Amino acid sequence: MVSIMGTLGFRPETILPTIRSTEGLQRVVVFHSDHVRSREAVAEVGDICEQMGLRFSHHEVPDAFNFMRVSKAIQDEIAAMRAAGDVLHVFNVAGGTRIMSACALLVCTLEGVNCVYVHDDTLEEIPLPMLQIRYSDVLTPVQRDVLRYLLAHRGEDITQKGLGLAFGLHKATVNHHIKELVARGAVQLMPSPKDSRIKLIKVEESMELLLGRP
Amino acid sequence: MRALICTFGFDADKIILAMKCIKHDRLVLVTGTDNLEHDSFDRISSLCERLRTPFEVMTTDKFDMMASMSVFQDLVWRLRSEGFAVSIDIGGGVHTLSLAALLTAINLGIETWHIDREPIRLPVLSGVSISSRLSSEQRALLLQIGPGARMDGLRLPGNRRDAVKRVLLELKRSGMVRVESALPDATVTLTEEGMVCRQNMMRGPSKADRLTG
Repeated sequence: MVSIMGTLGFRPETILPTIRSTEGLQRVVVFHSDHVRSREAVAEVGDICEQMGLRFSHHEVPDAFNFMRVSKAIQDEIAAMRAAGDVLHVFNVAGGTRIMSACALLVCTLEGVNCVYVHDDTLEEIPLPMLQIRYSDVLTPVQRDVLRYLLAHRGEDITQKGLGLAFGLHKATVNHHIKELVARGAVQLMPSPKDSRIKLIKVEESMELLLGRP
Repeated sequence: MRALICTFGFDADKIILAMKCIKHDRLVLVTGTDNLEHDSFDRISSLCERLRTPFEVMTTDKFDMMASMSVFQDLVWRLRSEGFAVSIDIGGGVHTLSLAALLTAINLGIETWHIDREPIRLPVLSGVSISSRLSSEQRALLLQIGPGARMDGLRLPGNRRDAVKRVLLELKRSGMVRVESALPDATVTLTEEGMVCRQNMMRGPSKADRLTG
């Protein structure tokens, strides 16, 4: 099934160019806030889709200003669509709150999904320069496993020694991977509050997005 | 030395929070021309003066995303050439400005933050530019293609024709090139993504970015 996704604000016209330009379109999915005007815009797009015989679904994001929550909602939907074997042709990031748009663009980069923007005045659809490669592919499998482990144990005191034991890796190997992850800004080394000679490995919650949904 | 670029609308508090959260030796605001007349701009400007923080402003057509991307791109390259490692905060301003900043940060591999109600470090990997996400063979072909090239004129080390076809297919799948006509006279041109990537390869990160991410 050929699908498009989009973030939708108060103006239904921001997503219409993508509906018009997608060949063989079968399904439209939009993300929107709980604002009454946003719901009205959703209703209008839904009507248009019904008239065109397109499947339409919408996701109301309860807190459209919460970066992590919005990003995860979008990432989950993309994962579900892919698992169902649907083709996500493009994501339109023109509508919705600034945070919703930014979340959509970020998730599309991470997942290697095409994106378009629609100019505010001219309503011209503008393709954005995105690579259709999963972003996390730049990390090695071991680095991804280390990040996954650190995310699963967030809040715990993890050291390079502990990581070596957990993965059965030599300390020099662990040190190499951690150095790479620190250089890329994926993790940070912080002195332990109990003993400043010990460095704890900390990871930002947002790195969950980098690894994608299981 | 670190430069902090912030997208700015009318909210000085977001910029001040960014200044507190992100280490910097220079602050650069990117904003629309009309935003300079706002009191909050004067507030940041006078704060920087009191802190002795070098402060710079770049204006752009904030509703034109592609034009704003160009402004960000040129700004980052200039700062890098001056020896700065760069961080970007995309939390202020209209959403076209934020998107332009985010996409530039992703393409150039810049530490990226979204500072609004709380600071969030986004999962943009430092030093991982759009071109570094490609293999050396893919990069070699992108450089050869330039504004456009005949497919039979493309070469890879070892002169392997099958490798050229394979790598071109990979580039096509990742959205970097398009093949214009049928074999054997096929010509290959770069897509917008391909052009950004090629431009990025030709300029490259600064020494500061390579060292500090």
